[in-house]
Amino acid sequence: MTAIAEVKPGLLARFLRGRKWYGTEWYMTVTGGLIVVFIVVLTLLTFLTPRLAPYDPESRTGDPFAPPYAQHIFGTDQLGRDIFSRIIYGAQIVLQVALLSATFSFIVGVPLGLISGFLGGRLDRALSLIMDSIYAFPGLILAIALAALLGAGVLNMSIAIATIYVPTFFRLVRGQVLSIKEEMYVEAARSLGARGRTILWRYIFPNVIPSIVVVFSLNIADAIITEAGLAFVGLGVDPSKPDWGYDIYRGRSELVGGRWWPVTFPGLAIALVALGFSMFGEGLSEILNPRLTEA
Amino acid sequence: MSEPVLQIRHLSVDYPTRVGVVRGTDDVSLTVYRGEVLGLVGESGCGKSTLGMAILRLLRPPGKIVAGEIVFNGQDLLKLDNEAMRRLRGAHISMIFQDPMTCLNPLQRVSDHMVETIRTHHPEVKEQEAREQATELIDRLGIRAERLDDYPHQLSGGMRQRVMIGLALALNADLIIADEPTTSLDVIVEAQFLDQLKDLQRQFNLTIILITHNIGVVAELADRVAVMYAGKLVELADAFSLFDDPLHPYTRGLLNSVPNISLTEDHLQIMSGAPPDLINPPPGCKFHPRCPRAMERCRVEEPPVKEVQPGHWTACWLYGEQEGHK
Repeated sequence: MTAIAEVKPGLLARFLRGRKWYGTEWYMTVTGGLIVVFIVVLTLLTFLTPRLAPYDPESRTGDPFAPPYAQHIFGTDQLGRDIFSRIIYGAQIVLQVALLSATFSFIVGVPLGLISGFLGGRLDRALSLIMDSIYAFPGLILAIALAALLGAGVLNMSIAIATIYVPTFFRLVRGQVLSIKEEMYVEAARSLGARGRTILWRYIFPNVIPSIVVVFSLNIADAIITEAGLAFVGLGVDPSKPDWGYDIYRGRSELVGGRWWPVTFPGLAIALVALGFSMFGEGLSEILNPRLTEA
Repeated sequence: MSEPVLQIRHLSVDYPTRVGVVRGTDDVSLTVYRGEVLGLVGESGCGKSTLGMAILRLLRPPGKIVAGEIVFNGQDLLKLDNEAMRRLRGAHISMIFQDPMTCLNPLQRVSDHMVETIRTHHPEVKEQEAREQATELIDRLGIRAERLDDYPHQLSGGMRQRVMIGLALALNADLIIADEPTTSLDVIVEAQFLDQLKDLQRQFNLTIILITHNIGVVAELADRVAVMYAGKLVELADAFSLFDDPLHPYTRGLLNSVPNISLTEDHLQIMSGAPPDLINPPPGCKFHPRCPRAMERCRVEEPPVKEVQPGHWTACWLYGEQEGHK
């Protein structure tokens, strides 16, 4: 009894008590987290072994356009390849691009936001203007333009997608810095002679991290959809490789003939993974929100 | 009297705003001597906190020191470069803030705060030594050593305030500016805190500028008291003569408006009027619209600060005219 009461209110304890305290957010986080963990682990395994799927995703293993049945539970595509296997292996590219692009935007956006918000002045105005102009573009259009410019490939796609998410990190971090900068503890640190970089690194940055984690997760969700979009318009990787977006593009014309399975299953996969990451992010944001925990 | 630690001469601070310039402190001159507690009192917005932040050169933009000098241990602080000023903060002048709840970084342990403050100014001190110093320090402040690894939210308000003092004392600062240190504490904690501050002050011969609107706190701690009104210094005297024989009508009003348990109800007076609009301050003496003894002269001419009795200075036309100095 007392042992439970003495648990320090760390993150783990908050999670453990979450069921009672946070309700919906907690379930969102856990469901989203489970989906995320499942997909990530599955995808990591696909890199290690080609035997995870029932068939080789890149070669003909059945009749073209076989509807879902016992041997091919999601059916086959126009070349007779097993759609279920293609979905399992297709996650590789999507996740690589999504993680890489979110990481790139993080690496660029967070330091710029920190510096911009902390120093203010002309640098801040210039950076904000640049970021706002990027933000003003419709994301997918800009990503398509950049991907077309850079050419195909996982890295190029990631850079194209990262570019459109840099402003998200930048604006979030800058806004947080602007408000944390005014906190009394920052002023108190200054009055005790703390250096600018100490204040930025030890006082401001740690207090921004919770929001960054949330946006990171939401950005991955967004990047998954954008990646599918890029692949759909043909700016993805090598067409023979399984890719959800490109598979949808190829299956799209078959819908007219009543062949629904080449489109539906990759579509569901995209929806599920994007949903997982965004539920995880949203739930986390609710849980990490100090206004809820201190009430 | 002992040597002066801090001399403020004709200090003016401006806050430019969209509707006009607010003069936060106006031509204030003050001397703080080693080992004394100088109480700085006045209503909200009279410039007392501005003065405190100006000494540390930490005014929030757009606040700016436009005139005067601040001489600390023989050095004009306004002429120092930023790096020299930064090194001075915490090591020679430190500050205690009004709200201990928000003054500590929620993500740093008490020990991190202490070690960081010590090592900022003495990078040669090893982490472990700094920790030992911190342990000693909080022990002296009456906090058990095992609380050193607690986060601020695990401490009570009084403890946090003591940690703040510990940080301010960590490097034996020559001058401590305490900006409303007890405002957010309840009366019992406040009393304990004041006792402790008094002990520490005697023990280490601290020099403290105590900024407060609470006359009671000043009466308890201060050796001398400066009263500010609308950015101006209106009266400065040792605590005894100020409470015994307040000269400026504003000081009188301020003392009369302090609730006191021994006063009958009709003794408590509320000063009429409101503090002046600092963008368009009244001409002449800034207090004249509220002053019960305002004269014709007060409306046109601003009274200078004069030494009316030995060590008792005031800015009012009621006094000192016969002595004939300006």
